[in-house]
Amino acid sequence: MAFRDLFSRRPAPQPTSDNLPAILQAAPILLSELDLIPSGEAGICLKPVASNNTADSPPGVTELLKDLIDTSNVTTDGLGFSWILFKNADLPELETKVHQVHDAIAGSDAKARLLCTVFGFVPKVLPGEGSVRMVYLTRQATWYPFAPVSASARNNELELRVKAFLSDSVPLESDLSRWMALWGLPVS
Amino acid sequence: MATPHKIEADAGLNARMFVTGLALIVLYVIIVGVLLSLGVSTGIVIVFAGGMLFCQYFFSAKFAMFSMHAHEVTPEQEPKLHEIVDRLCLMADMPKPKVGVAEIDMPNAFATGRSPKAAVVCATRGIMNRLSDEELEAVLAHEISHVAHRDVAVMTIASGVGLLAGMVSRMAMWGAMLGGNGGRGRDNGNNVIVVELAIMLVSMVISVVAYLLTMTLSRYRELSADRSGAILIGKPSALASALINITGDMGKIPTTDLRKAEGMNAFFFAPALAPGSAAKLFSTHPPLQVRLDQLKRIEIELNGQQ
Repeated sequence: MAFRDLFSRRPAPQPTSDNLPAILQAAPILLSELDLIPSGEAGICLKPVASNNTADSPPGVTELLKDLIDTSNVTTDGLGFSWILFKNADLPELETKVHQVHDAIAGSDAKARLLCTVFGFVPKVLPGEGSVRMVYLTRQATWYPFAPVSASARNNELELRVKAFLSDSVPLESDLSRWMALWGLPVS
Repeated sequence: MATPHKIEADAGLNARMFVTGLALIVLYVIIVGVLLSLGVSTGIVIVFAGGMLFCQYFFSAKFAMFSMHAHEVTPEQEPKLHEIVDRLCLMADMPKPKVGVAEIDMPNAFATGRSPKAAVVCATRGIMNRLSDEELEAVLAHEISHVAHRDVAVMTIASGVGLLAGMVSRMAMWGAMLGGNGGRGRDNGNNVIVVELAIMLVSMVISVVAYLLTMTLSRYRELSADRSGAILIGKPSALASALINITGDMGKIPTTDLRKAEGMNAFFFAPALAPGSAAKLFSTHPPLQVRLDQLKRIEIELNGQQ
């Protein structure tokens, strides 16, 4: 699969916001089956711009988003990727806001920079089994869980349980080798 | 040997291993017969095959390390890995092998080297990230059992049959193509071609049978290493949980960072993630369920003795 992708002449899939609202279907299942509630945090991860641009965030995106978001919520992580961070305890409102910004970027020249979008989920009663981030792959328009337990280890068993519970109602990424880690991400 | 503990060897497993080995020896005899019928080229074939086997035997460690992108590590670089190997060697009463790490995400470990002294035990970064200390110890105990059993030497010799048969069939093919007008035909040209085609066919069949037998032998060696490894650390369940964690769905979930993969040359990480690669490596291994069943039996055996 990965190998065929390397040589295929099909155009690369375009970034899409289509399946973002699926997080609203995921939330009640995560609560009832795994006692996980939304952390109220979300983030859109953008790839760094090409080296000829020196700004942390390209003027295009900040310019584009200045009416939508508070630009102080844009940070750059240790790997040079920009994160637009969102906070709202109400998940539908959070999703609406993320979706709005996501659409704005997907409709601009910066659409190729969209990498993924993350929504945080935490145990309802601490310590629980640890927190889970739901990661939306922008190009694939699919979701997968990421449950880090330390700086370089993840709870695969919990992630596969999330898969088992969500597979009927959420478009999950079926190729497990695409379930890449996001170590030290700024969304909790 | 890696079974200093007072545990009876698995008689059935040993018998099956013996029968497989015997079948390989029978194949050796058949191939010698084929070689003799070839006449003049016998010596050349043996020198070639012997040379290749010799290289494989003496440089096996370097080949394996190179093909897995592995490098040797010092105790300062990987203290945990060295500590586990130290402890296992002490328990198994054997010299400490070299320790290596392969910087790939695919969860795997291997042992190589013709003798316990020249051995290298190697773990991938992926397996070290995925397993707990106890599980990692169980996997390394399995690899150290391979070293103690001299499995590299055994498998090199076993695969020699297939190698020889392959070479004979290739030589017969050249012979048939070049035909009888060369100087080496004892009969008239047509007969030589028929004989050489027959030799080619027989050699190809032998190659296939030898390959299947080698794979079978390999699977028995794996079960044997599982057994010795589990007994060495006295915890079959640790190896069982390690196997569950690195095979199947869990083994497919990467530890590579999405952002790093995005920046990397696609060719670098694709082989480690290609769905077929792990399956190919494990085809020399018994099915997971067979290994887990054996470990369960050993668990019962160990508990019964206490």
